[in-house]
Amino acid sequence: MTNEIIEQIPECVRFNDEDAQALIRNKDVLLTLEDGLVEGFYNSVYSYSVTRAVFTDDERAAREQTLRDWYRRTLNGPFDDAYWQWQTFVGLVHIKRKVNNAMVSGMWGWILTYLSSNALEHLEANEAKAVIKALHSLQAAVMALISESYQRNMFVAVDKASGIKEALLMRLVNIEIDGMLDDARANGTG
Amino acid sequence: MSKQDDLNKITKELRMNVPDISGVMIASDEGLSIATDFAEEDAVRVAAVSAAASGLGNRISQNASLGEPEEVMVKGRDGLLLIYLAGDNSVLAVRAPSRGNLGLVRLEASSAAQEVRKVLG
Ligand code: HEM
Repeated sequence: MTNEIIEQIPECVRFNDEDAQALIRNKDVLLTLEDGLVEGFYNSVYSYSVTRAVFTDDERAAREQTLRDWYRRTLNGPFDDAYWQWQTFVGLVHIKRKVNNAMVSGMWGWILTYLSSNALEHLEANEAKAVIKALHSLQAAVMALISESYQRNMFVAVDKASGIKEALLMRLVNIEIDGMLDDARANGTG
Repeated sequence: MSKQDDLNKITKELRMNVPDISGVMIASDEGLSIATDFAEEDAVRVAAVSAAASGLGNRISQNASLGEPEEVMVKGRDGLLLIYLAGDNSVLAVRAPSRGNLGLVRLEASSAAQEVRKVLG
């Protein structure tokens, strides 16, 4: 499933070997940003009640460690099948803990801003550009895996539980969407 | 005769044989209407929910050990919808009044489902 999802992204913009090399080549500088990344990330999610509510009382140290491990594994490469499958797995782990895609996507935005501004500050311009491009492509790939794999797993589960296949479920959804679009057009909001 | 003609004929004959029936729908298991005499504005949804009910009926049969699913019935105050598997990838649904000759409706509808199965496989 992982490869099939990644292959939906146009090849010319997909995370590629050049991106992998850009991250690995600059890993020494990027690793110096680890403490700031982990602290800033968790300060953000702990300072907002909705994301704070995800965590149990004594969880922060363990969560900081998982983010650290993720960052190190990412900067060390390789970006092989096992890496992408792990990203899909991490997505499912989040869903089990009620961390939704809006939360993850929002925090990816923060990670990109934090790492990009530091890359511009600490790296030579061309290297900074390559790193920023790599991070954006990485984020796109990971979000694609998380959101699509969730949807596909949901389709499998609905079929198993109710006998309603993906194509039929999509049809039911589309019928409702058509109605919503008609309403929006009639109300002048679409 | 094309398959579509065959299906239209089955639909028409079913209506002729059982005047109580007020709508016939042959739909794919993806919920697409294949042949029907339901009003156009109802057909899209009836096709989709008939396929959904059939899928759910199958699962209930499996999980409650009911054996091969034969029929799904939804009964409302003003009428009922009977749904049959009609081949590997299609369903047949008929709408009838709740106080009609249900025996005849069932007999003819399930034999029409067999006819559809012959056409669509
Ligand atoms: C860019 C975004 C994120 C990344 C890269 C990330 C990364 C990870 C990783 C690698 C794990 C460990 C998974 C495992 O192997 O078991 C994890 C677990 C977890 N993350 Fe995230 N995370 C992100 C966003 C978030 C957000 C926004 C929240 C909450 C608001 C969150 C809450 C959690 C929790 C609660 C777990 C523990 C799951 C469990 O094992 O029970 N994460 N995350």
